[in-house]
Amino acid sequence: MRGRQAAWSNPRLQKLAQSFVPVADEVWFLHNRKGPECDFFRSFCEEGHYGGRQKPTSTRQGIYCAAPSGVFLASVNSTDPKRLEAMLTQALERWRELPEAERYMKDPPKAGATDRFRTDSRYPANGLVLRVYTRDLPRKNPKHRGWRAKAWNEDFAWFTADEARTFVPTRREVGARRTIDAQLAGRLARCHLVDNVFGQTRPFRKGEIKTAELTSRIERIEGTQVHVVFEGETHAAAEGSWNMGGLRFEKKKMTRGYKARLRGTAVFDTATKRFTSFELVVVGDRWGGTQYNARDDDLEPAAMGVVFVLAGDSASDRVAPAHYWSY
Amino acid sequence: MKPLVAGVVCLLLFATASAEEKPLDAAWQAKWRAAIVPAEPERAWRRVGWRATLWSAVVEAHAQEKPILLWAMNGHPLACT
Repeated sequence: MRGRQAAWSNPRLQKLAQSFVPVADEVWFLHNRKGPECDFFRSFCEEGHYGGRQKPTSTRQGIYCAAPSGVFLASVNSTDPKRLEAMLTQALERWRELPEAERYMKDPPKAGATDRFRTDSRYPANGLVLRVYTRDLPRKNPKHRGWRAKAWNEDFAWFTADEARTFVPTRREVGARRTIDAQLAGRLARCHLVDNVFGQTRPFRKGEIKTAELTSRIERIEGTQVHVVFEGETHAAAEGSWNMGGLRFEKKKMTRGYKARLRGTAVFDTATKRFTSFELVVVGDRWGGTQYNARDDDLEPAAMGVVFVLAGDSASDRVAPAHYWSY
Repeated sequence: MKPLVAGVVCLLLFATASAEEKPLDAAWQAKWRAAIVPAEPERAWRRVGWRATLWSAVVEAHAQEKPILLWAMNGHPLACT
């Protein structure tokens, strides 16, 4: 997440990346699951910076360069633009030196051969796909400096076509209201109103959702365009003992939560049965932390915001939500 | 007069979201949307043109006769990492 601003916004790295086919993907899946693309990753990742490592974790995350055949070229796990530039330059030198016969697979790979192994294949093409942004909001006494002062994170939220339609009041007249299904509102609170601003976190459990209320109201109707306003509030609170401190693995008695208000607007087209716009803004206080969300020194309540907006439909907009398996 | 104006500006800047009990209206929504959604310079990292799955890059790399640059993180880098 830090690499977005520290490394990949750098024009020199962006120019170097043009000599490659650049791809971003989830490393645990590639390292541990089945399918030709996971086999492909495992064919070279042990030659990289974390090859053979089991402690403090067995992760293989980082930046890798490889030939289409799977021949390893270079790798590093860093957000330092200079180290990345050196690694990419080295990889290109090795690529140029690599004999033609070692550059490519003997049988050209077929598109779609790995789809059935991926969560992305469950993408709700006819449903509602939202991009989710999270960010800390201004405080009286700013707590963070450096990258954390400017950090934000992103995710996706998926709704099937049937679920999406329940965001709109059934009675199509101005002033009509609808209470969003508790299971759906609860899912938003559990899986998406989470503190991932500085890094990955866990979803909340169902029993940890104290309040998850969202209502929609028809504000106006223009032909087939139904304009809707959302309002609501959520409160999630968890307590227990869990690891904190990233790779220090320090188990502590903790609480964590998020209490917030929601307001949004959307336009639903009754002809296509699709949303043509959607925006939901969430503002409230978060507290506590989890092992990898870098809140060890920031446990007291402080303001955090979340925004949901309509995603595009390009391949890079089809990545599965982080907590899809908790839906 | 200037210190008074500066003081008011500071108070506005440091007003925290959690302390705010204003009604939820279009202005509230627009204000916080602008504060949360990444601005254009913050989206510069997407200019690299990242593909979203390793296999799609493998297929494309064969067609384009280029090496692969893989950004592999715990959590998908194009979503929540």
